[in-house]
Amino acid sequence: MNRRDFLKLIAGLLPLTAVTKALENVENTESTEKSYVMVIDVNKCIGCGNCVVACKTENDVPLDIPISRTWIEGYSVDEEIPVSKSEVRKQVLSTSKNPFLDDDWIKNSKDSKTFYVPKLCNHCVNAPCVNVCPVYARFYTKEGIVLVDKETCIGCKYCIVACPYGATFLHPEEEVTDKCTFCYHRIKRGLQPACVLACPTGARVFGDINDENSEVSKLVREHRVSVLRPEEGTFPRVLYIGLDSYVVE
Amino acid sequence: MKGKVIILGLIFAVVVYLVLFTYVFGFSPIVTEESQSKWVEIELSKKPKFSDTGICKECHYNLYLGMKNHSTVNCEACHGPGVEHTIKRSKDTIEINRTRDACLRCHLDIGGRNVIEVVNETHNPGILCVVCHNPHK
Repeated sequence: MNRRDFLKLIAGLLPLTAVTKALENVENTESTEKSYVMVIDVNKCIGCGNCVVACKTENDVPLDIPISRTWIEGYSVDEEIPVSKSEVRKQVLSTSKNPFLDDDWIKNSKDSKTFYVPKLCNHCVNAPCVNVCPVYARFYTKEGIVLVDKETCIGCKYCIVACPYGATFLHPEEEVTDKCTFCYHRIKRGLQPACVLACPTGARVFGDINDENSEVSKLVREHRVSVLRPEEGTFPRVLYIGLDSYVVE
Repeated sequence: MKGKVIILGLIFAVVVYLVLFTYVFGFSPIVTEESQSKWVEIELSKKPKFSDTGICKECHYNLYLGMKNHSTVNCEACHGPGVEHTIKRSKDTIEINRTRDACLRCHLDIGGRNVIEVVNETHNPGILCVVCHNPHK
C-alpha cells in the first residue's frame, strides 16, 4: 500500500466513524428519555406511617427493626426569635409502631408547630455512595435511579458513611447494604412505588420529569421546591415542597 | 546464573501483574457492567405485593359509586397488599380491619394534621367508627 492509498483509506474511515458516533448518540437520547423524580409535599404529610409499612412489606425489610428504606421524621417546634432558641422535639417513625400516636407526642404536638417530613434515598445525580463503592456494586440505571448490586456488594459500609442523608443501611438478614430503589420492579411494570400508593393524602408524587404533562412536572412548575442538603452538591431526585429550615439533613 | 534468575523472576512478576491488571480493569464483570445489567434483571424479576387501584375497580366498581371522602385514597392504603387477593379472590387474602385504631392511625387528633378531619379519644370512646361512618361513602 503506498502513501496515497493509505490516506484515501483514512479519509474514507473518518465519515464512517462520525456516522456510527451519531447513531450511538441517537440511541442514548432515546434510552435516557425518562428521568424519574419524587415530589413530596410536606404540608400534606400527616405522619400516619402507611408508607413505611407498605415499603417494608413490598421490599422484604423486617417490620420491627428501627431501620427502613423510607421513614418519617416528626418535628414539633416551640418557635422563638431568634430561631436558634426554639425548642425542637424530633421523633422518627421507622417501624410499624407509630410514635406519633403516643401520649407524650399527642400532648406536646397539639400546641406547637408540628410537621412531618418523609425521607428516603434521594437518588442523587452525583451520588456519594456510587463514588465511594470500591467494588462498583452501586450504579445508575438509564433512568437515573441508583441501585445496589447485592451480589457484588461486600458489605464494607463505605456507602453508609458517605451518604449525607443516612438513607442506606446494612440489611440484617442479607448482610449487604440495602436502600430505596424507587420500587424499580414496580415502576418498570407501570405501577407506582409502594409508598406513593399507600399515602392516603397524596403527599408523595412520583413521575417522569422529562414528560411535560406528568404530575411532577406540573408540581415543579407551580411550586417552590427545595432539596435536602444542597451544599453537598449531590443534586437529589427527591424534591420537597414547603420544607422548613429546622429540617437540616 | 543468579542475574538470569532475577531477570526471569522480574519478567514473571510483570506478566502476572499485567494479566491481573487487564482482567480487573478490562474484562471483569464489574467493569464491563455485566454484573450490573444482571442485577437489573434480578431486580425486575421481583414480584410486586401491592397491586393498583385500577385493578381493584375491575371487580369492586360498585364501591366507588358515590364515594366522596376517601375517593383519592388508594384501596391498599387501608386494605394492605392485594396481589394475592387479585389471584385467589377470596375474603381471607385481603385485610379488613374494622378496629378503632385502624381509623385513628390517620384520624387521631395530633399536631400537624390540618388537611384531614380529625377526632380525639373523647368522641364516643369504645364504639367502632364503622358503626356510624361508612369508609366507602
